Amino acid sequence: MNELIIAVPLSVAIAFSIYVYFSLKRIVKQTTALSTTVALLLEKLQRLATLTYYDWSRESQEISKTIESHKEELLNRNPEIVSFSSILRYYNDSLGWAPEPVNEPETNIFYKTVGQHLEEYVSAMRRADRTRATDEMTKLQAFISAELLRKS
Amino acid sequence: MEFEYLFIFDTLIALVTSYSYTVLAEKMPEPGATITLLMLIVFLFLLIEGARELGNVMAGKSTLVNIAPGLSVKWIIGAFIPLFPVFYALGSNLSDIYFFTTRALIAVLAWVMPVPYIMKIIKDRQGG
Repeated sequence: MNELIIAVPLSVAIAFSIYVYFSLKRIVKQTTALSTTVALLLEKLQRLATLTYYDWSRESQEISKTIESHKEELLNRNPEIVSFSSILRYYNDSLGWAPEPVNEPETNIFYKTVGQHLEEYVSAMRRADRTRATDEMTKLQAFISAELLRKS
Repeated sequence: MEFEYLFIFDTLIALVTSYSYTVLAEKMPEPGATITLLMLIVFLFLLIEGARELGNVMAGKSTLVNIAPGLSVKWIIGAFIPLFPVFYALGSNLSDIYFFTTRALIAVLAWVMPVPYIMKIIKDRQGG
């Protein structure tokens, strides 16, 4: 009888071990898949930082599409990327009703500043400095919003 | 907010387990009592170390992929450690095994119960 009593806590501990093993395995698998997506996005953002005008617009639309397709997962992990995708979409839409003057000093300054913020963001993300990365993305979004306001 | 929950869970587990172990140690002859208290120290070490690693994940200083193997081992060992006094009592033919088993069950449940919620927090944070 005594040996049977111990079966209760023992079975709880064994069931818990199985639960922990399989749950962590599943979460790690999903996390790894999402990490690959984030790494690809960071590569694309770094490339975007070097582009201007038509190339910038085309690349940013592709980035927006990639972010939108992983929106649910990214919302929990990198919400700043999702909000950046929205603002990119707004900016690209604005190009339809207010085309940019090519090679004007103001437009060049816009792309230069966006590029600097993006590079800072990517570099902070690679250093796993989330605070700095979020700060940079907030600054970038504020800058693009100001540009959108100015254009409207 | 998740940091506060983690802190509250860990404090409750530490209190419940420390109480359980102290009561068990009082009922045990030597060297069982000393070994039980040493087990309590190991248990508390696993608890604090696990919380530190989880805190790093929540703060974004570390990733789950890095800590998952160590964390799963700590959680599994932590679930089995409270069973030691029962095995000792069985091996030493102590009377009132039921008393030891209920205390062990309380300690195991205290350890196990917050884990699904912690898993949910980690899953949300990691986007899994």
